[in-house]
Amino acid sequence: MTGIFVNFNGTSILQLMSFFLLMYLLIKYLYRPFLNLVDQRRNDIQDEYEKAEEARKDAKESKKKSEFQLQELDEKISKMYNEAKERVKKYEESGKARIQKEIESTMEKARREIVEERLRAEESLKAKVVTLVITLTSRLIQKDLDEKLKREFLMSQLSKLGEENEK
Amino acid sequence: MKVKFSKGEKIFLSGFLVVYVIIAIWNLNKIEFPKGIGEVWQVKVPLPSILGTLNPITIIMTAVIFLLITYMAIDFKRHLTKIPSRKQAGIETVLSFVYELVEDVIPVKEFVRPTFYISATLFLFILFSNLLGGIPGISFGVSNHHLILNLFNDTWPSPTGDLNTNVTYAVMVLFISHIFAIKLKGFKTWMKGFVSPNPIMLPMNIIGELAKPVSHSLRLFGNIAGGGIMVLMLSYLTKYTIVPVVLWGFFGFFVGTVQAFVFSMLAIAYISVQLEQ
Amino acid sequence: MTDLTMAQAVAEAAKYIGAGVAMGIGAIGPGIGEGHIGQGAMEAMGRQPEMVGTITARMLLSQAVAESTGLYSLLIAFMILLF
Repeated sequence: MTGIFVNFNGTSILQLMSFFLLMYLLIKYLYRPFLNLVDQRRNDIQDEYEKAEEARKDAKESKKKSEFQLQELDEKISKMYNEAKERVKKYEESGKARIQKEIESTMEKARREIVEERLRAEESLKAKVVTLVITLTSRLIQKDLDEKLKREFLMSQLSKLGEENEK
Repeated sequence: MKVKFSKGEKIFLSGFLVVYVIIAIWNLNKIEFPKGIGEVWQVKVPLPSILGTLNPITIIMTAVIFLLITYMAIDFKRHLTKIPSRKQAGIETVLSFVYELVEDVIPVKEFVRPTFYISATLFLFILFSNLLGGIPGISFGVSNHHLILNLFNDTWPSPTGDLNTNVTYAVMVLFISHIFAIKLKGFKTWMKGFVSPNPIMLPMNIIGELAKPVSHSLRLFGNIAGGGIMVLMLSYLTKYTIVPVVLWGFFGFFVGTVQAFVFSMLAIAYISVQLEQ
Repeated sequence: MTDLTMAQAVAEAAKYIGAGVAMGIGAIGPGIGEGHIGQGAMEAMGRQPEMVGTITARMLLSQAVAESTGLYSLLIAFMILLF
């Protein structure tokens, strides 16, 4: 049996049924999995994105922190450097002063010693002169010496004294 | 673009061309005007009035496409992974394309998914049947009440080349759009939509609604069936030399894809028009 | 062909004329419409060259819609010719 190609008949009911059956199967096997997958993927991507954003923020913060720390450290270092410099300066200065002081003190000591020595020498000279005078007088008194002997004796004594004084 | 052929390819191509020309010349007087053009095979079943006749070819091809799409869907679900393979990515591209279209157009959020189901099913079915109508294969003709099988002088008969399919789908879209409208607005508000500016416009509104499925279905049918007959006639006039390949490609693949898209797009548009408040 | 009566011959001739006229006049409308759509699309492309892909897709879509009246007349022409 034939018919023209523009026709409308019972095939349409079968087409309708097949459409709904196909739609049912496709919803079950294609659309639901697809939409679930898309949703899941979107959620995953959102999560990952949020995580990445957080990580970025953290990194930024830590960077800032570390920069701050670095700055602090820098300041500390410069402070320490300056302190050390100052200390060295101070130390140097104090050392100089001490050395000067020592020098001065030694000088003074030496001077004092010299003075004392001189005093002692003077005292000893005085004592010697006194003893000499005493001996001389005692000799003069005790012995009768001629003039020649006297002079010789005096000269020797005086040269002795001069030698001692020079020492 | 420069195409380089190796020696073997050159020999094969020139041999193919020579054989092609020889067969074309040999066939020149043997090709007759295709019989049974514009006629379809119908079968009577014991049912009242117009329900009693069926188009077996449409039913067979619908079943074939049904199985193809179902196989594709089951394959999709079985090999579903978060990082898509090439096949899965292709299907996902098509589906997300339709979904975005629906999401943009439909104003009510709870009707996005049902509309997506309907329009995507329409798109897939029509796309598959139109693409099948671009591949040369076995076609059936009728002459003198005898069924004749034509091998490779026409494309596979596509279900959308039968008015039953198109009218059914177009009317179904009309009914679905009104059912959605009643669900959303309630019966009274929906009825008020028909007398919207004033009651004089009632017949105009009804005719406008009835004209929708007519143009909707005849657009697809005209493209597929008219294109098919035209290609058959032009193929006969050029004695099946070179031209039919180009025309099958054009009408099957290009027009087929565009019309499948247009059909599902218009279905979405008709539904969204009814859902607007 | 030889044993046609006058009336049958006139009917046969009118069939071919009718099919031709139906197709010819029916193709005017879609032709003008598609031309307008193409014009609009070209102007839009000239104004916004970065939107070429989208505009081409929309242009093909609207041309496919505009073409449908021409296809009705094609169908009518076939129906006149074949039956």
